[in-house]
Amino acid sequence: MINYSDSRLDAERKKEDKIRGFKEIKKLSPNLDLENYLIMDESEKLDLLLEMFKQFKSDYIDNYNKMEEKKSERVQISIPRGYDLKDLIKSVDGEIILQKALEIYYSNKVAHYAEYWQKDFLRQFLKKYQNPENLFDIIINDSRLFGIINNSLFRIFDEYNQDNTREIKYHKDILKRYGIGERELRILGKSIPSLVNIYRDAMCIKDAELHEIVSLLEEDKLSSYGMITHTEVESGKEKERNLFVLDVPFFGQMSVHIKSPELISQLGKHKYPYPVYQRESILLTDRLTPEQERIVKRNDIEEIRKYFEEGEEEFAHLLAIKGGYTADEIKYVHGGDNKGER
Amino acid sequence: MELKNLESLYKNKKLKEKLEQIQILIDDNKNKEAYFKLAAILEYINVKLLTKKLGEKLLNYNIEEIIKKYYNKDEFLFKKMQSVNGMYNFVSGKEINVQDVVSLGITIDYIYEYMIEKYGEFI
Repeated sequence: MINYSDSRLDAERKKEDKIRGFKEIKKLSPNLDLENYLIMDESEKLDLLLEMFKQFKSDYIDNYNKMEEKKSERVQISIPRGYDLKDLIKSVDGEIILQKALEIYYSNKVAHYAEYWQKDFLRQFLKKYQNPENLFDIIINDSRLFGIINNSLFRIFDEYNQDNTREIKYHKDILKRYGIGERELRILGKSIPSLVNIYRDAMCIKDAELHEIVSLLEEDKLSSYGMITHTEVESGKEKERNLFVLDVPFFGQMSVHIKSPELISQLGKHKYPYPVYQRESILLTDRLTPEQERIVKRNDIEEIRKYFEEGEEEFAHLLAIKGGYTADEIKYVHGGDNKGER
Repeated sequence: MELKNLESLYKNKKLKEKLEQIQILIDDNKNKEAYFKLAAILEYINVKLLTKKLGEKLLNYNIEEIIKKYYNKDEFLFKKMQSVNGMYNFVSGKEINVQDVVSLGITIDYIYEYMIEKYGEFI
């Protein structure tokens, strides 16, 4: 039986959390500006990104645990309520590749949450305010049109685009056709500009760090990484997307979209050789279950390879990463010949 | 969309030739190809400006490198290219439509107009 009173309280609590989170996000967002970001040290960068992530996704622990429950049992790693994501900063202190990997992962998350919230605010606005020709209903129900409107708002509210008056006029003319004039823009302007600027800054950070980490990995030669082309379904359509995948030592397999043709070309010869076991993820952490910890501490590559041979491929791959195995060692776990120097 | 309206770009003979090829793509509704060819023009004018007028050597010709090069050199271009990077990411993975092409075209024209006014001809 549904307890309407509880679920209503829950929804109200979530709404209050979101309002509170948004105030904090707006306070933090100027620091995400690339000029500020570039002068921070790696710990400060991570601190900022993790704080913004937590404010966007205050229920990240519950969400993460629910997602883990969908995985096979031995691979699941739950997180306790009191977990502090910022402990990661100490874990990776002095390890530049690990720091960059976390910066890429969490800046990507921050950008995407900014984008979801922008769409959410737009949807709420269209539902709340009526327009005589019912154009707002048409926009909500037409995903392509919704995308066009959303994109026009993105360009109008980008702080770095304000002097591009010709382009802004172009987008305002588009919006006017659908009943969004100056009055409506003033209302939308209370929430959307911060999100647009965060998206822009977080994506710049992600893209810059991606280029850096690829250079570091090419020099380091120890980690397994590369590109894969992955088919995704969005709005009922199949699309091919390029993913950068990295086995982040002690953490897990990380994958993010890449758009840069140059990076795609650079990585094109360097294909990631394993399946992407979990495309969707909420967190990248260095936690293990007691069982995983026992196996990893035994440091027995043959034992881990046996799990792979017995069909527990994802489990074996996860153990190898959590154990900090090199690319050659992970290859051996997957049935390769050379077990490296472990 | 008429690329002739991108007046600053159209005044340059070399860029005009490139735009004429892109116009054919737009007329054929090949929006994605037109978008990427416009992006290539933006990369081209940035690389030319950085190497010819700002004395920079570029190891890579990607937008991330271009943004870094403008840091402490030209604040307008530093911010404009970040805005363009945001635009690229926002459309990445989505269907590119004619509004995206127009948006990018106008932005590139605006950037090029600024470059010419501040630095003089460089292409």
